[in-house]
Amino acid sequence: METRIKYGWPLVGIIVFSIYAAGLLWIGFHSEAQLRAEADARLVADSTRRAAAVGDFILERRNNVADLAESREVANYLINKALGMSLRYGLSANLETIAELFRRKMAQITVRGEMIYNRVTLVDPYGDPLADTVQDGAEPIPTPVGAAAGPTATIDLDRRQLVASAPVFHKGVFSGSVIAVADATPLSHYLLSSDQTGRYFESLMTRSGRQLPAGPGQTPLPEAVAAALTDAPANTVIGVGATSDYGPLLAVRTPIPGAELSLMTVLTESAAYGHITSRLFLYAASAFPPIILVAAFMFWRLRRRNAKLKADFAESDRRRYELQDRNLILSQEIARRQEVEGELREKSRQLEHIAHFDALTGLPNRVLLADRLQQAIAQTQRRGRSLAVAYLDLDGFKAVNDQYGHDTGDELLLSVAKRMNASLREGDTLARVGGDEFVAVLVDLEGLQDCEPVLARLLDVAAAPTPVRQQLLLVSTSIGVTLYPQDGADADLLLRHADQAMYQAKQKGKNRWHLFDVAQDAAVRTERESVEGIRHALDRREFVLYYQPKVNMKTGAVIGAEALIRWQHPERGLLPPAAFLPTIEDHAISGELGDWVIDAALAQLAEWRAAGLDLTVSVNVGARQLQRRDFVAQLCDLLTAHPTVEPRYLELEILETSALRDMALVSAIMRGCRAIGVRFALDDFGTGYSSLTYLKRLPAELLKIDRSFVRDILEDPEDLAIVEGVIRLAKAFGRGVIAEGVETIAHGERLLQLGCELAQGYGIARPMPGSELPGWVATWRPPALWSSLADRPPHRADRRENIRVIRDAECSLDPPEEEPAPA
Amino acid sequence: MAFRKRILCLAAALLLSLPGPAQADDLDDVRSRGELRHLGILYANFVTGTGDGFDVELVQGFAKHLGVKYTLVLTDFYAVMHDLLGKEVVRHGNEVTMEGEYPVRGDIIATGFTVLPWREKAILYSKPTFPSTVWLVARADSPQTPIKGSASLAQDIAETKAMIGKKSLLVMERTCLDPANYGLKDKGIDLRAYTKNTNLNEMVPALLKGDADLTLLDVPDAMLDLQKWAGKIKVLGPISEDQALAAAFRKSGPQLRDAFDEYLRKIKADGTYDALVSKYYPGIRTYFPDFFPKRS
Repeated sequence: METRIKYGWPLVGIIVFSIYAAGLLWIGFHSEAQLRAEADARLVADSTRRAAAVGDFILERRNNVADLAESREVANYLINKALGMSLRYGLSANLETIAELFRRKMAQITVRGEMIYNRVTLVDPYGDPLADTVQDGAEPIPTPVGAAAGPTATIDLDRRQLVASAPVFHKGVFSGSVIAVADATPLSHYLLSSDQTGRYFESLMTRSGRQLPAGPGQTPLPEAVAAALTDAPANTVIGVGATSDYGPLLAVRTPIPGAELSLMTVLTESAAYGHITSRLFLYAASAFPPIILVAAFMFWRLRRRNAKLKADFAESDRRRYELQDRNLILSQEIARRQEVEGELREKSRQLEHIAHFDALTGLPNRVLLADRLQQAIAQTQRRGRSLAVAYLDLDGFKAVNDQYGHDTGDELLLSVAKRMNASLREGDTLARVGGDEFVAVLVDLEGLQDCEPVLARLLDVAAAPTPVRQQLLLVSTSIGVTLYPQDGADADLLLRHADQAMYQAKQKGKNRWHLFDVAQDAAVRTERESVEGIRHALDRREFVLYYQPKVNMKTGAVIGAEALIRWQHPERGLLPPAAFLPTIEDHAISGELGDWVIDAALAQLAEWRAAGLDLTVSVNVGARQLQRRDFVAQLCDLLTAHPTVEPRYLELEILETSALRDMALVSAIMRGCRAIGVRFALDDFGTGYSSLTYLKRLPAELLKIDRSFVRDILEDPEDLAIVEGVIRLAKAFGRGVIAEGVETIAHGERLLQLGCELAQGYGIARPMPGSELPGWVATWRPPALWSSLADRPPHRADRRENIRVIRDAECSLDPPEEEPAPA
Repeated sequence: MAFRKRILCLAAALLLSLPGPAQADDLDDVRSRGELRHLGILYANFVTGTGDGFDVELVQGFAKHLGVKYTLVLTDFYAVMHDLLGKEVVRHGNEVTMEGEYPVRGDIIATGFTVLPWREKAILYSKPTFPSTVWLVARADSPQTPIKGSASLAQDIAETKAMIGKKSLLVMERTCLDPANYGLKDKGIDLRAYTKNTNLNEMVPALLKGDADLTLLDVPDAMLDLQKWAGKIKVLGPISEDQALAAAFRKSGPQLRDAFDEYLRKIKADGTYDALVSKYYPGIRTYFPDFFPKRS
């Protein structure tokens, strides 16, 4: 910023100056235009004034002769002449008097001390002179044309004279004229004196362009200029279109009042306007600020460049020195590095060796093994052969280490490794991958039969006694083998499979080899993949709960809904529970998933409650989940996380068929849950072998009649009997009962007839997303048939009948006792 | 002693007061007296009555020329002779007698004074100071038509005289308008002498008033009257030959006359005279070209 200010201020200053100068120039242009206009106006006014003076001069001459024509002396003459007096006896005196009068007037009328008139004469109507200021011998003055009309004043350009005449009348009769002749020179007194430098010209000009000959001090207009101005407009400053040595010319034609003349003023523009206001000057001045601005900008750029060059030069200098230093350092460094490189190369080679070979045995390590295995796989593919990956683990090596120490153990290891390596074929690879673990890659095999001899040899050499430090040590090896491409895994998986097989070999007694079972592994992998898939689905929130309403067919009330999990699989779509739950039934993740279901159900309950809908939601819980000792605590945590949901709105359904190992635990857990308000239902009641046991020992408030019994109650009497029995059983035990799988109105009718009011099924509603349930609840109405059956009392059994039913049910439903195992 | 002085002064005063037949009135006397007394008559532009006039300035210049004081003494045509001479000049035809005793009141007469033969008998004239002639003038409405003029003055005079006929003619005796000067007396012309005053300027007013049908008028006067009464009077023609006007002196003052002539010559030469002529009678030259030579 400072640098910018340092180098930028002159430019800013020049910019400001340019703006200021531009403003001044604009003012100058404006003022120049005004000044020109004023100068033009002044020029016209001055010319008009001078023309008026000339006009007045001429008018005055007319007035002079008019006065003389009307003088008493002239009148007396005319009177006496009219009386008949002769010149000799009377009139001569008059004429002499007139002449004397004319002379007196001539002497009186002066301009600048000089007489204007050089002759005044009185002529008769025929032009003959009567009285004249000039003595005899003077040439008669011709009477001007139109002299009888009135006073005239004309310019005789040839004689350079102004001739004024006025008629003389006696009793209305034209009796002659008084003619006065004046030198036109005095007219020049009213004109501008021609400037000796040639910048001013002024003359009197006729319409035809003839100029009054210049008088003393007057320079005539150049003829070309005069000719160009004959038609110039009056009282207007115009350009002449000609130039003088002093620049372009301007002209003003000013008509002389009362005369056929014009005052023509021609002057240079510089004379008219001066140099200061000349357009050329302003244009030149206008160019000044941009030039200054450009110059300032160039200067600013030069400064910057100069500064930059200086800085670059200084930097270059610095860098040069720096480079010199660096060069020196670099040279030293190069020398050092070359030395180090040598060392590094040696160490790299060592590291390379270390990176790929086991330090103790010198055998390839895991890294090199992987590379060689890849190459072997590629070679096997090309050749269409097989290879074997054998995972070897020394049996008893840990004991040797523990007993004799690691040094002895290392020597033992080394010796065994050498012997095993020696027992391989050429092209095979033995690598050490762990403490006492080795991997052998046997290539170019036709099948398992080709590697069995090698495996046998490996077993033999490993089991051979090994002398180490005066001790004879015994170990053996267990080998796991997998064949490629029979085992279509990649290199890593081949190793894992071989490792798995090695464990199999150890489990089978050690000192043997075991071949990896591919099929078995697939099942295990499937299970593993299922668990992983569900894990991922939980993480990605791919599970959703659908809700199937449960209703009271008798009253038409919606009493609740069963939460049913669905998996919105990204590839397989919406999956029902049967598509994924069985695979994780025994896996810990089933509990995690169950917790999620409870949590999601509670969240939905809270949402419904906030919307004004209070329903019970039943959630299926698995045996594994329910038998967790921290189930109640976990349930409490979940309920705490949803404080707006009362626990009584949560119902947990236990599948009767679930394998409950610890009935007491489950019962305690259920009681614990009931203590916090959560109820239980036995789901699929009647399908299992421990129904009555469950019914007696598990504190479930509701029995859910399995759909398999309900589905056929209309056709199958046995199912009908079972359903009836369950209903009675439930009532005998004071439990509620709800029928699943109600698919038609008839089913509902029948159940109502049997006394079962609660039901759920496709005949009532299919499972739906939680957001749709409130709308369904608001619009659902039970079939009229069900409502009509609501008034009929259900079939009630007495207590004895109920006991009979219970016993019959116990007999029919309890699973057969397991026969004790044979001794 | 004082008494005797008184007696001598008284005697001298008495002597001086006695009119003598011949006073010492020549040039020396004028100079010794230190005063030139100018006898002037109110007449045209010779003596205008406003203190200037052709003759007034002429004599003023003469007095200055002499180095004496100028004094204008107004008189009239009837008294002017005895004011100069101390005696009245009685005309008997062409002869004159000197009669009576009058105080001399002037040294020079310069007043458009016509040189007449009978006057020459009694006085000394200077060289002509001005020309003149006498015209016959009528009222503008008179039936007489002015003569055209011919090459002969005598013919013009005769033609003019013939127009008088039985018309009454206003004249002033003992002046240049005296009909006896021009053979008009005893010719049966109805002469009517204007005697109300001796001012020739009154002739035209009297004519216009109808005192007569015609009047005589000298040219200097006529020039002025033609301007003044333009359209009321008209000149019919000449009655006289050309006349001269001059200054008059006593016969006992020839040096004074000579001095005047010398003065006149001088002012004619230096243009003073022309200036006076142009001033007071600007048109006179055309009538008297012989008297007034062409100016350069």
